[in-house]
Amino acid sequence: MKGVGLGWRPETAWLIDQRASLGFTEVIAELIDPARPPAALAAAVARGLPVITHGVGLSLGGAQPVDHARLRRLTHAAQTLRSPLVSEHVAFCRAGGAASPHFLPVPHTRAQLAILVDNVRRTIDALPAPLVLENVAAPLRWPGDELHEADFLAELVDRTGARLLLDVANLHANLVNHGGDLDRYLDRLPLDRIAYLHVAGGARVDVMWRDTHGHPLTPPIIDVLARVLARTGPRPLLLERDDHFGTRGELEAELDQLATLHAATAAPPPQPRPVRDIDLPRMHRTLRTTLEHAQRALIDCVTGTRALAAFDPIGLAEARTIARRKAISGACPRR
Amino acid sequence: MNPLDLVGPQFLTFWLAGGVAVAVVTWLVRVAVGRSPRRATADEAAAKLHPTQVAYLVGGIERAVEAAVAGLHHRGLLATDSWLIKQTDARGEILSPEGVFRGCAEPARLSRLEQHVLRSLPSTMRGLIDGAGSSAIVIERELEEAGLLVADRTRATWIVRLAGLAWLGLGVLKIGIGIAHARPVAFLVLLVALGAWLLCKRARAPRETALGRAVMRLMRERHRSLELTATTAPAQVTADEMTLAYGLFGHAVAGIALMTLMPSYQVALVAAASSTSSGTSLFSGGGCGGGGGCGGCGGCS
Repeated sequence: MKGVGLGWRPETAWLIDQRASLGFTEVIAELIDPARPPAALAAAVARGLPVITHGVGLSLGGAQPVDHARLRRLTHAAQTLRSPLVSEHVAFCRAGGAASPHFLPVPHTRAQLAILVDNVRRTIDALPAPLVLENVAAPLRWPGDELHEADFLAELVDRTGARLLLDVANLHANLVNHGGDLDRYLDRLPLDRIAYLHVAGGARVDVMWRDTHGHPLTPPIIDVLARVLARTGPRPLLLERDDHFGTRGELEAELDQLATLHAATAAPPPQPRPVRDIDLPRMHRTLRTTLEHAQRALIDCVTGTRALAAFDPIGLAEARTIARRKAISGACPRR
Repeated sequence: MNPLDLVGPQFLTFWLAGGVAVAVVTWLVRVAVGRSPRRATADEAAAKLHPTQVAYLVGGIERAVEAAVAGLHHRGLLATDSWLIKQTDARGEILSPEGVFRGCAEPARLSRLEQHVLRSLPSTMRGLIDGAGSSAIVIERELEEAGLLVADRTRATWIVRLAGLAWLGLGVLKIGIGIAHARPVAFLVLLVALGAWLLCKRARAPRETALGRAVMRLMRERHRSLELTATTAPAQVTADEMTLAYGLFGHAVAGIALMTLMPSYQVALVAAASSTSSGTSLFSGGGCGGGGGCGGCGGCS
């Protein structure tokens, strides 16, 4: 798996079929029947195009252990597609019997990290391919975060053996929406653990940057990507597009731009591994129950009208908007 | 042994056994007639086809004209106005070859059929199809020369029917002898009539050669992703690809405004409606308390 890839959708299937230089693709596992994937996708697998299985509904960051049926489905999809990697999000979308149409960020606390480590280890044991964990675009931050997001992710992959999927667009959105410095963020990440990168277009909506996957790549995103690649070296790079696909020429131009950037990337000098000293609490039922109450409250708040004063109202409003939009596309299936 | 000397059940047994042999021979002749005179592989044959030829191969002139209209509409060269299809004032530069598509040669200019469509506007779809006779003849000949369609299908059909005709002739002769000798021949008449009906209905030369069918299978298989993308994001495919997608997969790949104009869609709609209505009547029959035994339905009201 190398070079530049494009997310598989019915809308991009023909381009993926036609573009000989495409390095790989990625398909959302919840949108296909693992027993009978679309013939066009099966043909891509048959001709040797690497297809990464990308999960959106496992709720790895949920307070409770991952759902066995969903995990089986993800495993089945990865087996059918002969995926070299399976990726999922460091997020949750179900808690206490409630579900959010879109995944929500987890609190960067030691308790959450302990639960995530446990959930990720169980998932790795069940999957037929290495698990890769993706950073999400967080419209809001939890109050009382104990760890920096980069430290949180670094500790998670160190403790579980999972690898990282660095979503450059999500990283850009978080830096714009919540502040922070890209280089300092990257300093704290184990860059050698990055398996591949996501990049996608977005747009500024009022004061927030929204990771829409429906806009062309813009210079700020390309700039962040170039700076990330300069630190990581040439890593497999996947363009995500879920809406407003434009003409094939437009999409190919974006892929060409990424291929040029990727080809021009040199291997970086070795970088020191960040040193962290993070103690995690022991896993026990109370830890999960306490977190479950908090996550359920946030889901209720995002999907309903309940207010939570602890959260930034602008971020909360953005999370509600995204949830409403995603409810239609079923990004995090409830079933 | 002269079979005409056989009497009654003996002749019927002989004639029915002969019928089985004739069916096998007819099938073998049909396979032989459907062999392509060309020694090309499906891959080689597909590479030489224009999208409108592919459409013709799949569904005859109706599918070919519909596919041409879908492609020209995608180019922006024609627009729909109620049931009428009109030419737009788009400039010629739109016609420059665009994109590449696997399995077909890239056309340097519009095909004969596409030119016919443009020349015939404004028109209805039915008008375009009815007026495409000369284009149909040319495409048919091209596909026959390529070994994809059976040449002179009427003659080929008679060749397929030869054994069956001899078999029926024997039956007719025996009926004549039976009548002359005042023997009962009603059962044999029935069997000969059934045989004649089967011969007319089933013993026909295939439209496509084996190579033609292989080409259709190959192209459908290769273009599954084109079907998906043409249906969900038409802007991602070129005009020639749209023509090809329509030719291979039919009206489902066209936008709703264009699809409703297509005769094939209207036929499908009528078929769906009639199957729904027959479903309703079956349901009513079931409600009669007898289902299959609806002979008593008259008393249901």
